Amino acid sequence: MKRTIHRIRAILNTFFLVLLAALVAQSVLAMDVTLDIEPQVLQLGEAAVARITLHDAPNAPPPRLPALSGFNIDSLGREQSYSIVNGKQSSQVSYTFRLTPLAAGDFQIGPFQYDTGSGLINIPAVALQVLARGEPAAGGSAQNWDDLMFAAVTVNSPTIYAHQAFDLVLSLYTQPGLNLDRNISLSNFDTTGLTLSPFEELPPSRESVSGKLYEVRRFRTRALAIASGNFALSPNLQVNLIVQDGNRSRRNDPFADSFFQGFFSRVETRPQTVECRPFTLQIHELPSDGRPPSFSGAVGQYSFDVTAAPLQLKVGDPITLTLRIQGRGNMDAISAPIVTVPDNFRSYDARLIEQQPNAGLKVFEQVLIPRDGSASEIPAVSFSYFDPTRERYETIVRGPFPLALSATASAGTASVIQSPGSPAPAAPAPLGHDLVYLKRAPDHWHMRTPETAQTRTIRIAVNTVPALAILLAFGYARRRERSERNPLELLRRRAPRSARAALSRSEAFLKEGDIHSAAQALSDALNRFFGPLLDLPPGRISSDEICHRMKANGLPEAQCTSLHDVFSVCERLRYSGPGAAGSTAEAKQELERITQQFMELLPACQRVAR
Amino acid sequence: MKRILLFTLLAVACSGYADDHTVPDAAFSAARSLYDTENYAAAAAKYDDILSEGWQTAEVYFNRGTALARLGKTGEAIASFETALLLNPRDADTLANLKFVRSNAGLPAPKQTLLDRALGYLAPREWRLLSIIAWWGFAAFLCVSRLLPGRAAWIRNGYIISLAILLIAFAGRVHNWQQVRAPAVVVTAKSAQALYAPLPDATRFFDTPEGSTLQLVEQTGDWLRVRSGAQVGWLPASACTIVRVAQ
Repeated sequence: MKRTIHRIRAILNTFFLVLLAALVAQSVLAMDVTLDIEPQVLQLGEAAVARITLHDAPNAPPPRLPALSGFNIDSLGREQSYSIVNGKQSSQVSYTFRLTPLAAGDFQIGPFQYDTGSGLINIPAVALQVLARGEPAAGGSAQNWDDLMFAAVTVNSPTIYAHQAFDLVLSLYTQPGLNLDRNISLSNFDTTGLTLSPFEELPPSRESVSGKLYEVRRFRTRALAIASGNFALSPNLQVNLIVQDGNRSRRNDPFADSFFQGFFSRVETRPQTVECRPFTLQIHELPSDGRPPSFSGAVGQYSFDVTAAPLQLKVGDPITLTLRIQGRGNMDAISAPIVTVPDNFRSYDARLIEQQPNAGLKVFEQVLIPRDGSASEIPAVSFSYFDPTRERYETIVRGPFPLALSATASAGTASVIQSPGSPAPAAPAPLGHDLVYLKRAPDHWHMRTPETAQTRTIRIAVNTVPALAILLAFGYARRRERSERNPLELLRRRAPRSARAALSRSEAFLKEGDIHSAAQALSDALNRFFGPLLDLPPGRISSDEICHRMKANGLPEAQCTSLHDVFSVCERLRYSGPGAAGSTAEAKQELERITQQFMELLPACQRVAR
Repeated sequence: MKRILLFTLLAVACSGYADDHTVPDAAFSAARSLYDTENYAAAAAKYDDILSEGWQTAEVYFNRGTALARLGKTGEAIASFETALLLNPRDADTLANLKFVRSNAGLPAPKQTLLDRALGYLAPREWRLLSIIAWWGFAAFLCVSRLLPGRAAWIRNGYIISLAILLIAFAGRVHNWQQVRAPAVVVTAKSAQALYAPLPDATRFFDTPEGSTLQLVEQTGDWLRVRSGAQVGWLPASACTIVRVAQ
């Protein structure tokens, strides 16, 4: 019993030791250590920062950089961070060092090994380039601009063919100390023969060109060559230089002190055009030699896969062929590979079912239906493309796909023995959807006729009559509102009509021979006309007053006399009483005369009063 | 007097639409008989004859599309159904046949926004009639409200409602105008591909299987610039049909 317990204990101890060793080994294997140095190109007097990052090794001993001649190495400290992503915890410890160069030249840190305490990890080498510091320029303008700042166009492929997609990179090189704002625009970029996608900026970097240090900003676009030939690319970059405003007068400036200048110094931007170094893009025509028949314009590197399902089926059942093309190239130009099937297949057009431009994926689906049992296999499907790297056509063939066909129930060998006289079996009616049957003739046919003058008139009338009605209604309403606001104006406007009504009454009395009433009506007409016209109360309407005002308003002398005559005769006939003014015939004639005179004077008086 | 004037106006209005053509009932029936005997090509040609005479009704386009669908001419059938829908956008038979043809060919239905669906509910002629009625109603209510101020509130409400209907009808007319300006284009060729440029040997851009419904951007000579989603490419005019009804 004791021996058994001892044996079990030994087994358990062994198991735990193995488990512990496995865990340690796993932790060493899982540990990831990276060395990163920025910048990798620097000048004397500048310092680079090296960062060793330990992933998922919180208890590992601090790493050390190997001694490097020509550099002072100082430790800057340690940073630790934790993160939990999808429930999985990870830790990261970074050790940073300052690398101060003591001499110019090319250097290399590493490779070296880091002892984690549980194993050694190899850290690859990192190259450093230290440039001698140049003489400071006397001023920006005194130095050659091409040395301070230049731009270049590059492509990522040594040989470019028509229909090839490639990366075109615009690089802007500026010497350190030259400040540019973030806005950069492109001009004079002739993109004949190319189709470009929008530019994206890549992370900035440093480069040494002809022994000089440059800050480099790169802009990349995905270009597609749409025609062959030589194309000169020499775009201009419009940049904005940030410079201190040195012209500002500070004679009376109370803050013209070096202390305040740090706070109050002004900067301004100056636009500058940077011409790209000339670059000729040579786009070759796709070779005609060796062009496979299945080539349909794909240029790039692709993989091609075909699946067919189901492969065991009955005659008449559909087979779905899935054609999957994935890769890097001119994906937009890729169409479905042609599946050539014999006559014992019914074939439908392939359709695009999935497209992921970023992943460079296109998936097509094509349906094939075996018509009879002789269809033993789906022929091989080929996809051809031109590989610009290998500079040759490639063809990927998938298939053939053998089929296991079984006959349909209706095509079986069994037959029904039909008794004479029995009705013939009805043709099997197709189940499912079908086209809706034709429509009956319409009750009203509509003829397409050009617009005639008549229909045009009606159309214009239909559209304009309501507008005219609205205008008239608004005009009328406005006039009415104006009258309501100014009753005198209303009376003045109505005065001629009112006077004419009174004159009509006067004429009626005159026909009846009632001279007195006719004169009274004429007087009423004069009052109704001149009262509102000259804004006079009834008591102030007299021949003198009216004539005076009319004369002042510009009525001719002769008409004033005539008007005076009308008033005086009217007054005389009105107040003389019946039979007192001579014979009735004379009075009637006189009244008719002054009525006529008044009728003639009405328009002139109205015009003058207005 | 008023009755005589009204009668004269109606006579003048109606005379503009009167025609001296004989309605093609016989040709329509003959086409139907040809269809019944499965002579779809002759039936489609008969419907083409009716259309070439200048008759345009949704029924002719529908029957023509159905005959073409039986012939397997997916693109032309879809174009015919789309034209029928321009004349009668709510016709369930046309919608069903269009859906059937598209699903048989594995073609997706063109995406429509809610606004497009709402404004496409009425045919151009219906929008025109609604806009005229709303315009006259709005004018009448506005005139009455100006001439008879202080009247019942229903006059004011009437002109607000008619104004709202007028604005909706105006949106419908704008939608119709957009359809005329940038009509749908249906690919009728078996294997057409949109190109980057209007040249026969230009680079291929994207696939346009038969029956694809695209949007016309511009027309230059024998080439159509068409939009499919975010892609704009060129197609030869002979490879497609523009869905359009003469106004």
